[in-house]
Amino acid sequence: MSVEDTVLHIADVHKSFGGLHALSDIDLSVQKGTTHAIIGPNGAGKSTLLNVCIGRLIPDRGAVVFDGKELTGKSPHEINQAGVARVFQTPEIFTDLTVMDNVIVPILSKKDGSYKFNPMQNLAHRKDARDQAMELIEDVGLHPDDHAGSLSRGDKRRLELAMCLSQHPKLLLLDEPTAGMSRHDTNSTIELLKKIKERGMTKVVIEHDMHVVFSLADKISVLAEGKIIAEGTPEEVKANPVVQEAYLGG
Amino acid sequence: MKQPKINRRDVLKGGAALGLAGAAPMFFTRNAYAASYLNDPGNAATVTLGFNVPQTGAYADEGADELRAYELAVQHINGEGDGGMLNTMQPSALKGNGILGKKVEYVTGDTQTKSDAARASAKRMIEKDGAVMITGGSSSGVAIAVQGLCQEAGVIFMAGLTHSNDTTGKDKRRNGFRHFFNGYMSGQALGPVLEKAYGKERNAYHLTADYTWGWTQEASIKASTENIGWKTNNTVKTPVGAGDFSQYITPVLNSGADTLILNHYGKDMINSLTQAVQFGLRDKNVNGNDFVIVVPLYSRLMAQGAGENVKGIFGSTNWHWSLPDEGSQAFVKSFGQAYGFPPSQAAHTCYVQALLYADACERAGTFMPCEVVGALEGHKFDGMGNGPTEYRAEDHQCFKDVLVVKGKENPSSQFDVLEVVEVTPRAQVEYAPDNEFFAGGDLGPCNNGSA
Amino acid sequence: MNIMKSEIGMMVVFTIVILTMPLWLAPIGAGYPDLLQKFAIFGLFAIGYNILFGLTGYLSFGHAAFLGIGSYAAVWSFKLLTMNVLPAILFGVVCSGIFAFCIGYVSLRRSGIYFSILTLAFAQMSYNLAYSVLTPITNGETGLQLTINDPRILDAAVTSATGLPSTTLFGLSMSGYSGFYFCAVVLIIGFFIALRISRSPFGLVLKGIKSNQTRMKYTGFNTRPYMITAFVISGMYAGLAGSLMAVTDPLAGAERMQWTASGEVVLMTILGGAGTLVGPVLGAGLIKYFENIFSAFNDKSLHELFSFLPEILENGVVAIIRPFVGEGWHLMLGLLFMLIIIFLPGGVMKGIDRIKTKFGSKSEKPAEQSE
Ligand SMILES: Nc1ncnc2c1ncn2[C@@H]1O[C@H](COP(=O)(O)OP(=O)(O)OP(=O)(O)O)[C@@H](O)[C@H]1O
Ligand SMILES: [Mg+2]
Repeated sequence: MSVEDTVLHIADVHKSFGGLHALSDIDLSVQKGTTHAIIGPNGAGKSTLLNVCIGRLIPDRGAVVFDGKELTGKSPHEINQAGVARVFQTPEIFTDLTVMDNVIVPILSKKDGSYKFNPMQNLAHRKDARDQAMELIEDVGLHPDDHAGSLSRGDKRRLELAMCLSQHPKLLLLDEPTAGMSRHDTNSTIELLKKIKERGMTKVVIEHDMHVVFSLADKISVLAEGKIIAEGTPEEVKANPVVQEAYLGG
Repeated sequence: MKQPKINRRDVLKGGAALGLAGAAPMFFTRNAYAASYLNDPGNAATVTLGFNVPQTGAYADEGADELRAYELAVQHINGEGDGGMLNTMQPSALKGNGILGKKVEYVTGDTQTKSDAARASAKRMIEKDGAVMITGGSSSGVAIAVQGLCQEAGVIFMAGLTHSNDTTGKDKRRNGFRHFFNGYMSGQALGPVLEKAYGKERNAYHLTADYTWGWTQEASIKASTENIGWKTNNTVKTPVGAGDFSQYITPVLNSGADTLILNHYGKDMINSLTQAVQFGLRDKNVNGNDFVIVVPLYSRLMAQGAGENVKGIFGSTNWHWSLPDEGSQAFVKSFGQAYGFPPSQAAHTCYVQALLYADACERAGTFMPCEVVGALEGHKFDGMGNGPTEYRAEDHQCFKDVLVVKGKENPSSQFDVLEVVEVTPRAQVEYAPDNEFFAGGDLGPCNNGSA
Repeated sequence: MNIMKSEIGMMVVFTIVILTMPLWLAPIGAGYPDLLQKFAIFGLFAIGYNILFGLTGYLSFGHAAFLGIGSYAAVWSFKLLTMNVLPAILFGVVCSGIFAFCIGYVSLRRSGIYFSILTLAFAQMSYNLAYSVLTPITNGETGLQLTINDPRILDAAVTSATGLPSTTLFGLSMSGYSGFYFCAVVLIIGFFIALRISRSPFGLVLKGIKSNQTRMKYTGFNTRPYMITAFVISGMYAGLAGSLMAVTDPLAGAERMQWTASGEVVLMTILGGAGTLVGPVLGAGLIKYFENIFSAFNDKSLHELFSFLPEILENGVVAIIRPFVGEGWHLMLGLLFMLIIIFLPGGVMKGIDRIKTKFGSKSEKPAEQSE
């Protein structure tokens, strides 16, 4: 693994809210094509780290470098257009729209860019977008005409996942993608994520469910109170006594 | 060009309208061919007039009184009631059987004292109700807007209470007529009276309603007071319907002015005058002069509203119910019997306008606007409460005597609030049609309208 | 099966309904040109407003400003250039578009209630400017009118028999029924464009912004230019409606820009059904119709209406109804609006949908929700 293979590099990022150091001097690299899991107790700063990556928060110090380009200071839509997509901890979907339209929106962003004025084009004739959306909706097991607002919590997560996948991001950030899902749904989500991995998409996954973490992750970083306390392959992390104490509960 | 004829343009119009309508039937083009003028009552037993008055807003009191007068006028024209001024009008072609044998019916609209709303309600009365004449209004802005509309549509407009010079000045129209006097006339009548009462050494501060009437009255009064040697300290515009004028009155206190001229009307005048008095303006003494207030356009309704505060204040008015002439007395009597109180000047001018229109149709033998215009232009009449009066052909303005009035010190009743100080003869207020205050307009040709 | 689903079917039905309005509105006393013109003009205004409010959810309280600007621009075109209506409309739409860009550029820095207040403030400013400060351009309270002596450089040779020239479309007078048909055709075109916008990728993005602006940002959309575009389009619709008002009646008054006029279009859109295509047109028609009917009642006509009742009852009924009609008809409007908001939050179109589903019509989905 050489430096050229680094897709995401978080360099000495520091973020505090008032007196609370949510992230202190985080240094983290994610290699191309790998699945990098971040684990840690509640309030450890995991979501904050992702927020810094996608431009929702600006770090007090340090930089986020993606694909060799600095992301810090860029606006969220520019970061997404650069190839970073995120599944949020609480699903961010279009509850007023159908499942189909929910997936078409990100496809349009990918195809048409951050702004395109095409008011006379008929969406029904955008076969390119529709076919692609249909395929993904089937992949995640949803129905295109359902109203997104009336989906179950687990289905909403899967819809959001489909929306992010539809953009073929170079880097996919997943914030607890299986929280609130049944065991069965969790397993099918794991299968889906594995399938994507075969296509070579780089992922950062935050998870509390160790079953998910150990079946997906190539590398794990353990975060506690804003600091990375351990890092390594699943086996290494499992064996690490500090981690056992701080997180895995011995 | 009074003879209507179907020309190429009309045919084109009809054809294109039909084309657009597609399958829609032809009924809407009926009028274009069957009638020679818009809303011709034809063989119908009735004819419809449209009364467009403010029923809401700063001039609603005047509007309500105007409507009462119109209802009375319709009764009298139709031969009901005691006949009112029908008995005193000279000459008169009215027979008390409606107009040209047709019973008069009417529709009403609310101008809201807004040009848009007034034009919309006038349009409704013309297009939907088939009104052949529109009359009313208590604001010059509205009067001018509706007069323009009537000119375009092709019906007669008999203006109600409108005092701006522009109505028969730069915005005059062939289809429109004004019986009421105007700002220039007020200035001409007030000048000498003010000079006699307050001398030549005065410093005047104007508060002016911010629209056509206020502007032209301010200009007229400014000119006539400067003519008697007064200085103009300042002129400040205030929005119509402001309610609170204290922010405009406070600066008057320290301006060095000794005279406040209120170019306000209706509720605005009641509010500004009341507040000026409350601020103690009338108790002040500036440059050795007692501070005085002048209200160039007075009305009894306003004086009543302002109560005590009007005592001793000079102004001018078109008509007052206490006038002793036969016509005034006949009108006051029938109005009083119907409603229990005397009519305002707004009611008077509207009543007279309705009668003058009816009489002109009778004399013309038709409702056709251009013929009615011909009958009214240069028409001389008497017995309508203002002495001998003439509808001047050049600008459709009535010329007659003007009343200078003063708030009464010892009113005998709640209506007896004004006393007539002087009747200024017509000759003193008359002006040439191209007078600088009235220049720039053009009556243009008359319009019979077509559907 | 569902004719309303296909674009062509919907346009055909809409066109027929609009063009035959003089026929089917005559029996209910609304078949005269001035009111018909208003239906078309305010329908257009509401359609445009709906592109902003219905699609993006941004509640503007200042759209009357663009209506007024459209009117002033059109009247100036009549005064300076020609009585032909096409340049006037073009001029009106362009001017209001420019204003909408400026106002939108600033107002869209905020969202929610702050956006609404900013637009309200701008509209009120425009009103005050038009009412007094800019009197040389707007003629203040009296309103901007044509005069015989206007230059009209493009048609100097033509003189009119009525003194004041009337607005024309290449010789066809734009008053009365021809004026209505002209407005109706513009309305149909405006409706078609709105239909296309709502079914375009651009429209879907606007709906996405309404539904979840956060998601839109992290999905790679630059939402601000989209919002500005939607704002400008709806401002141009308002300007178009305003210039049509001047076409059918060549006068522009400041009261057209008052906040009450801005509020009216909000009511129209919500009453008919925000986000639906036909709803705003329906809402505009309903409000203009009720305004016309209820405001024309006076004591006399009420007593005539209830004269079949015994005297005491008649007086009682009239006394109860009187405050809600005539000059007080806004009370009636307020009441109507409250009822709709409480019982039919989606507006009249929602109500129609409910009735449809209730009576077993198998049209699976609402005919033309914003889907
Ligand atoms: N915008 C913010 N303003 C203030 N404090 C914040 C903000 N965002 C996060 N925090 C705080 O920072 C700390 C880290 O929060 P974060 O959401 O990153 O935790 P997490 O590791 O994702 O926890 P969880 O597992 O519960 O999702 C928490 O104490 C949280 O309260
Ligand atoms: Mg979290």
